[in-house]
Amino acid sequence: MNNKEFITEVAAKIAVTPAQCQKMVNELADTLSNTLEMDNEVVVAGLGSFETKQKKERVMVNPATGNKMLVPPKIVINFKMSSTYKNKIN
Amino acid sequence: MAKGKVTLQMLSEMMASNSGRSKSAAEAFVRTFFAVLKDALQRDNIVKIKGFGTFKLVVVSARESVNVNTGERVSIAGYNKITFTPDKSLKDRINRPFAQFDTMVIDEEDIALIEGKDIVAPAASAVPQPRKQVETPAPVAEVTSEQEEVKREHAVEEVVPVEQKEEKIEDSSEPVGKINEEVAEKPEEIAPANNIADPMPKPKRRWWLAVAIIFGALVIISGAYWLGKSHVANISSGEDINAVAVDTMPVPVPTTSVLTPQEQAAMDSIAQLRAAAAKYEQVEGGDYLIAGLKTCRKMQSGMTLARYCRRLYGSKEMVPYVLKYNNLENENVPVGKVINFPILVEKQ
Repeated sequence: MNNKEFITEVAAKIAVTPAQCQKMVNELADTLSNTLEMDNEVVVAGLGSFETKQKKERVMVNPATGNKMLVPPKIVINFKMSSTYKNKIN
Repeated sequence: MAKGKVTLQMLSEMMASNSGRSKSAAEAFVRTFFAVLKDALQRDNIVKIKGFGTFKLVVVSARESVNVNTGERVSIAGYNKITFTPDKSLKDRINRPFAQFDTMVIDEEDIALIEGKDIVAPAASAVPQPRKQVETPAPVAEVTSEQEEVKREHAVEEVVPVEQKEEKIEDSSEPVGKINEEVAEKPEEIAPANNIADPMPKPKRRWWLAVAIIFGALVIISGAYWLGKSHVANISSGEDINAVAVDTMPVPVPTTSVLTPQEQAAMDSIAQLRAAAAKYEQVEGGDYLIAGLKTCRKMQSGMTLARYCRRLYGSKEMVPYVLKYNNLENENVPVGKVINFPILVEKQ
């Protein structure tokens, strides 16, 4: 399902225009990142949870050139399924 | 790190206050958002949301593994999982603390420089060893920015966890020892081995001391974690099973090819088999039940259990079941031995 379909479906259910709906999605993403930045875990009941994980620096070899490169440390978002959902789709 | 749990309700309240919308509107939106997402995933397997990210349904194939306590073969069943890859904007937002860093090329010269600044006398041979694989011909011109120095420090401190990851399947005690020594700032009890030490550019010592301590703490935690993990890896280190298992056919064997001709078709016979399976000892965690004798084969020179399984069941995945049925420890059976191959029926 692409973005357009998803937005129109959500918009239809809550009676807003798709444009408004997309705006709300962006606001949601904003809010989500705010809470995640403060090192919280966002739990969506029946689906899973979003949390941040810190990845350490690592050395990697560029497959094209064969150079050794240093990948800097970073923070990533991780989604983990809840056990109820896991059981549901298996 | 202590993580506070934020519920959907709290999220929608925050969204309402941030955007100026009414609480009820925000809540309705958030609920609908995730409800539609859940629904769409079941229908479509992939949902892409601009500004948010992509949710994908992925099928993970079954694989062989070992019970850490008993050493017995177990089968980890295949399953479905949802993966989420955040959109670029979201990713960048979250990664803001590290936004100014970028991937950079490092080479032997930098490593040599780092080594030169060692405070604690290292077993210098240990450092070039892991990096010996790639030898750049000419030294790359040094970038003297502050970032570069930061990275060099991080390189030495953090390259060890990398080596750890790469060598995790093999003997782990050495890499763990390296991590150990990396953290020259903090007292460590994980392992011995004296290797890389912490290089600090002296002029910037004070500030980087604090940063190094924080990273040291992270490294200790991960070192303990890897130590635990490597213990598991050690047990399976001698075998190729984990690597080989990736190649097995992802699809579980269809029931018809597993049942002998006499027991085909009727649902009753499958149910009968399942009932019969109660008599036999089963494999932990597997998708299939052992329900009787299918056929026996004498091991021929040049044939392996895995090949027989592929012929009879269509997949090497069934090897643990065969082993269990014959009370064998591992699949290296002598030529001429008669092996009994069980009937395998899917668990409900």
